[in-house]
Amino acid sequence: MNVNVSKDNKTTLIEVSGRIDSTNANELGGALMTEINAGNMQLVVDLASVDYMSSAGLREIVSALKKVRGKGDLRLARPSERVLEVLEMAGLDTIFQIFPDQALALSSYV
Amino acid sequence: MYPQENRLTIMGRLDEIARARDFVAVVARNVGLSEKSIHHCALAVDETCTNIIEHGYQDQGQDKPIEIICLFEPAKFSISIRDVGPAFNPLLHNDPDPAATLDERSHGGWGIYFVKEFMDQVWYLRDGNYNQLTMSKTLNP
Repeated sequence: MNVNVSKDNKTTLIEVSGRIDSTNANELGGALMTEINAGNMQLVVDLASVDYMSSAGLREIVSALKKVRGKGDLRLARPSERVLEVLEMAGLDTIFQIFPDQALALSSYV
Repeated sequence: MYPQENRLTIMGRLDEIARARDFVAVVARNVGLSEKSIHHCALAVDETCTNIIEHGYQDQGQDKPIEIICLFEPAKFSISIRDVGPAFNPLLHNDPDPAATLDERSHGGWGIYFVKEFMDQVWYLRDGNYNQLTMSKTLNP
């Protein structure tokens, strides 16, 4: 798994690639918490290049969402069919705002 | 000839799980499961092994085995996962609620829920010193 963080105006874009599982989910959680602790509360996590995510990954994005709630948001972009199926099974498709396009997710904060 | 059996033993460490996941995916692909079903099987194995390592073996399972046994019969593909941790039936735990709000959500519980939801049948057996969780996909005719 790779995590790439960049800034787009006031929004922080976190692009993740590879497989998110119990061996590395904490790295994603750490990257999210680093941004949140730095005061970056408008987050977009782009999952386009994530071909696999287990419940360990869900745990990290839910924790981060709880942390930013009320001060900002954590929005998801471009989950693959497999990742979306996992999000839906956990009922997270109604908790997270999910966008089919990265630009739409970024501009949703404006 | 049926049944066809394939076995793998990994050690109780998180960095071994990818090997179990890949093994099951290869076997499932060889017997003709769809890519969607293969993903379900790999996820179910991942979640089960993660639970065993983190809870059954309490992250001290470096020298303890987890056995993965795939069994292919004409209408069914089954995966049994065996560990030597304390007796524990994960199917007796309450399921988390997918309709829960963000506030109502706690951290855990989704792994076994995914196993139950993504596989067609799941059952638990205490076999001597082993916990055995078996999960299967019914194959379409």
